[in-house]
Amino acid sequence: MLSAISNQRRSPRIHLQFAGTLCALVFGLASFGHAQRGVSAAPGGSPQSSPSTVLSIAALEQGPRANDHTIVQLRRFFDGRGGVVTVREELRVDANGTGSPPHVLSFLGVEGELPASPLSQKWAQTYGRHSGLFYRHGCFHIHDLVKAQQNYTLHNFGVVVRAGRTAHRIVIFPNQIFPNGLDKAIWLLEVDTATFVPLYTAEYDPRFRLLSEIEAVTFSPTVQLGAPSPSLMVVTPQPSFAAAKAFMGDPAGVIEPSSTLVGEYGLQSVDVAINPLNNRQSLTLCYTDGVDEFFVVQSPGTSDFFAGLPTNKSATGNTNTIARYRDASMTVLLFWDDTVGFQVTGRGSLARLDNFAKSIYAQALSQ
Amino acid sequence: MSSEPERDGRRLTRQSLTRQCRAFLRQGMDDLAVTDSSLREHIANCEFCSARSAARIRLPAALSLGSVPVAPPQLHSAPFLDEIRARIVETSEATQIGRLLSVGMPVAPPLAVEDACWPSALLESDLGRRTMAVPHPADGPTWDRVKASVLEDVTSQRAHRSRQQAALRNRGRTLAGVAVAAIICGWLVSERAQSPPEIVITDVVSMPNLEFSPMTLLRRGEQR
Repeated sequence: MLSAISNQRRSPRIHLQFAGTLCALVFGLASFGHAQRGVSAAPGGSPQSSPSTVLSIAALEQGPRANDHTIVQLRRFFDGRGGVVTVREELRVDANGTGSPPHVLSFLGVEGELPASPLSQKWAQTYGRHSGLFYRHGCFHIHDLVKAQQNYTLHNFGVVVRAGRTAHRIVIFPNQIFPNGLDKAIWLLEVDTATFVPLYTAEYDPRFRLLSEIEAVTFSPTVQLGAPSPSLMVVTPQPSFAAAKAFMGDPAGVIEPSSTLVGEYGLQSVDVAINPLNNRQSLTLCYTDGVDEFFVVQSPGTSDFFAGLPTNKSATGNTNTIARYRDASMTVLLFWDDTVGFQVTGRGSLARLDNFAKSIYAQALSQ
Repeated sequence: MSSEPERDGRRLTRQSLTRQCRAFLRQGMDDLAVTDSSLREHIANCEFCSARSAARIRLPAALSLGSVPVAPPQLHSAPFLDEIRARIVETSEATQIGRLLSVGMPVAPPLAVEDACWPSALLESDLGRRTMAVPHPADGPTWDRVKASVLEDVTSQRAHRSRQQAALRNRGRTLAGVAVAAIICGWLVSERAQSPPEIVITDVVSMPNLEFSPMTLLRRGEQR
């Protein structure tokens, strides 16, 4: 526990350094002349001859897919009240050229906690159920190369050393400015110069508040996958919404949101998750702009979230309520219709989720 | 014709009137009791002014309508007036103009009623005989049949009108029902189209305890 507190004390100092780097990026971008879209010069100004070694958004997508790697890393969770929990984990990826390679993400322990402590056991259970979610959506990935190249710009800030490896320090900055300002995350990365595998990932909001952080401790360009431990949470990827609905037994009240309302975001994946404790199904639609993601979760057979609350229907009886929780790190919008619980959730600054949730609710009400 | 007054047989002009005469014409004609002594003396001495002063006193009585005589009652008698008119006509016929009128505009006396008769050929024709023949009165059964026929006709017409009115009422009720249903359906559709569901967003201060929330897991690792 003392070590965890020490982590909490040490982290702000580290974060200030990176925040300073981001500020330098924002205020000095034009004078540095480093800003390039998709392609950047190599460290030292000498251009790379091989496409595989050219630092670019495409390289960030292809590198992890083409190179096996084993990383022991520290993932920090921020609880929204100023507390930090640092979890040590091991990621083993058997690259096969696709975006979903065989992999294992193992829980190693909570920093500063004994392995048998309640906190360690709780996190071990969390990883046992949701390690796949942490790998797919909790790490920096180029989910869609074309969209990422359209919506983000890569800025190179030179070479650093991370986990005993030479790495490029880069910033992935959003291109689109939402009507009321920047609403997406800004990513500070350090990627291995040989494999373009991220060794350090920090996610900042538009006000330079740190939202998530993953820091590699050791890196090996080899992998011995072994037998993956079975996940307690059964998540089944589906090719489409219709297939997912059929897989779930065609439940009533589940809707396919209109994709025309999410701007540069597009549907990335459709998953059906089954809770092993109560066998309840959840349909998860993931939308991405290439890097950033948000989710629409539909849970059939759910009781009304607001059934126990005093009704706030208007005199016309035509008012419907969406409950919204929002802090710097996340936005969660909840509503219920026709035995289905709906959840629209994404990053805290992504204000456009409000209108998207309203449109889904209206679509559900019109069915 | 001259409007100038005369005095002592000679025509008076404005220059022949004395100042006292003009004063009398201006004031004394309206004032019966002349108060001015000099003017009263002038009236007594002036023949012109004294004659007019006396005439002014006599004329109102002479012009009074109360002295018109009443017509005798024989004038209101029609036979008396007819005699007068006949005498006037007889007198006029004997004059020259009467003779000219009798020659130029001869008057044919009207035929007597007993002299007017139908042509014998017409009276002897079949039409004439039928017209003059007195029809035989209808017997009782015939009148009964006529009466029954008339009553039956009236009854059938009344029943037909009743059926028509009932059909019109039914048709009207049906149309009214369809119209009301169409209005209600249109109102409901328009209400639904015009008033989309109102959706409000209410902020909650703490994160709801959800069974599965991707962002909650990714950010905090929390699960229920």
